[in-house]
Amino acid sequence: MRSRKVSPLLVPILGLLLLLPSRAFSGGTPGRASDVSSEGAAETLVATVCSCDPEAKTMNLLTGCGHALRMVKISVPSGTKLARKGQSLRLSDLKPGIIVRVQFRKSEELNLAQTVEVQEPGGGR
Amino acid sequence: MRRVASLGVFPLLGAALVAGLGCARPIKTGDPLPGLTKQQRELFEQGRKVMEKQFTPETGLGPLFNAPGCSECHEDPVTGGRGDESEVHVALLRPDGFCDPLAERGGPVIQQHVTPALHAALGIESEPVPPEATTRASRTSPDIFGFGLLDTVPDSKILARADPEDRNHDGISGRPNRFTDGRLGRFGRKALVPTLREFIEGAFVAEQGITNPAVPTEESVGGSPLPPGVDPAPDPEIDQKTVDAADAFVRFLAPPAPLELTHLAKRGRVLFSRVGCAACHVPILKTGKSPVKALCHKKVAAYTDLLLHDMGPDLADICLGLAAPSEFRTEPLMGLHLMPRFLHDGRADTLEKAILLHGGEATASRARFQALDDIHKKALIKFLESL
Repeated sequence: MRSRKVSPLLVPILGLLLLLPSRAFSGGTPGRASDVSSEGAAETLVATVCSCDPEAKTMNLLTGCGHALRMVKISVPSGTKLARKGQSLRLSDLKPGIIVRVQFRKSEELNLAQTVEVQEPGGGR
Repeated sequence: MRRVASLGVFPLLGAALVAGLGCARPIKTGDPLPGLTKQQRELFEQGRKVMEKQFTPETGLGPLFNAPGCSECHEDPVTGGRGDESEVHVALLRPDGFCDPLAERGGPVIQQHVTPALHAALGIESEPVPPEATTRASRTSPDIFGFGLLDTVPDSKILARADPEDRNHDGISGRPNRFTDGRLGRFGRKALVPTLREFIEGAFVAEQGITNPAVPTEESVGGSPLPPGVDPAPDPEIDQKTVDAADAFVRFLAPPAPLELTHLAKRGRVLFSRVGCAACHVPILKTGKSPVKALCHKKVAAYTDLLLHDMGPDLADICLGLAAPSEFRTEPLMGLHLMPRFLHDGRADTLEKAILLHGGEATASRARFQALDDIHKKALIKFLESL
């Protein structure tokens, strides 16, 4: 009989996979993801613009899970890239109801936007 | 003597064969879907315990809540069924047309109870309704049977029925609602919530004040943070395993078996389509792919299209997401024979009254129903009573 060689990496990889939380029955997750880098936690949020204050350079985004809805305040410093289909936008162009994908970093009490991109509805199952 | 005894064995053997081998056991209300694995049935039973658990402040309840357990509102005739509670939802419809669910002011669900600690701290009996709210709604607790099948219907099948501009000129213009991130919604009376999983995770917090890994923060009190010391349980108050079990229970609940159709009800089934009810209350939906065999590529007699329809000004209440005040998701009619009251707020105590309260896009269908003679009206009602 031919013996099969098992990669020494395979066992720990399989072990790690088993430890991951099961989302087997999940039909989808809210539009939020985080990526921890050496500079801190970079997060991505897809949410609806609820209000925008161009003078204060902030926007309030509507997000949540089910009927537990939450507001997230994002600071949009000058120089933040705002775009819709590759075209630049001003903060005042982000009207309530528009869906945006925001990359931001938490800095002390602020959520500092890095990029803001207008999204079309979709991304379902 | 031996001959008589041996003759008696055959009917018994026959009955045993029919009962044990020949026919599947009929599905009773509250049963799990047929075809689940042993592991899935075990998870379903674990989930039933979570659903029936009565939480206390020490185990996570509140400080704001509508009920101390899932089965408080989903209880009749069995766990997962309807409840006799009504809750309050609010929203602000801004002049610019944007629907604000008042997330900064505690969200659209106004919790009707508070824990003793919150009462002692603030002297309130329930969450205050934010003064900005322009609309208020009453919501009954529906049954949640068959929701796993509804969750497995592909978005494409729902969107294929949408006709927001009424291009086919049939007077019916179903349109999709969208969650805050743009995904298609389907759960809730206004179809805001995209998935069953999120509906459950959100309900733990909005209905019971129980934080969980997906929603680790409590509801605020009308926008104000909780006073210190009123929430003794550390967040998240339940773990992923508990959420998974509750999810499995709801996901695996079978739709209630419809009652046997009488001759009259069979005539009513034909009239249901002829009158136009089936344009929105689509009799059969098909599920898509699922890792759960019992949910994969199944037909479900849901009698809904999971889309929003304008129901006219008389039924209008709150906006939610893209849903205007007068727009509601077509209510699934499966399990209708278990319901004593009808419509989103239970205002109709008979099916006939519920039909007559349909307005907006359903006006023409209502008129066709009204034009039926008494025997045909009765036939249609008999059919509905069988679902």
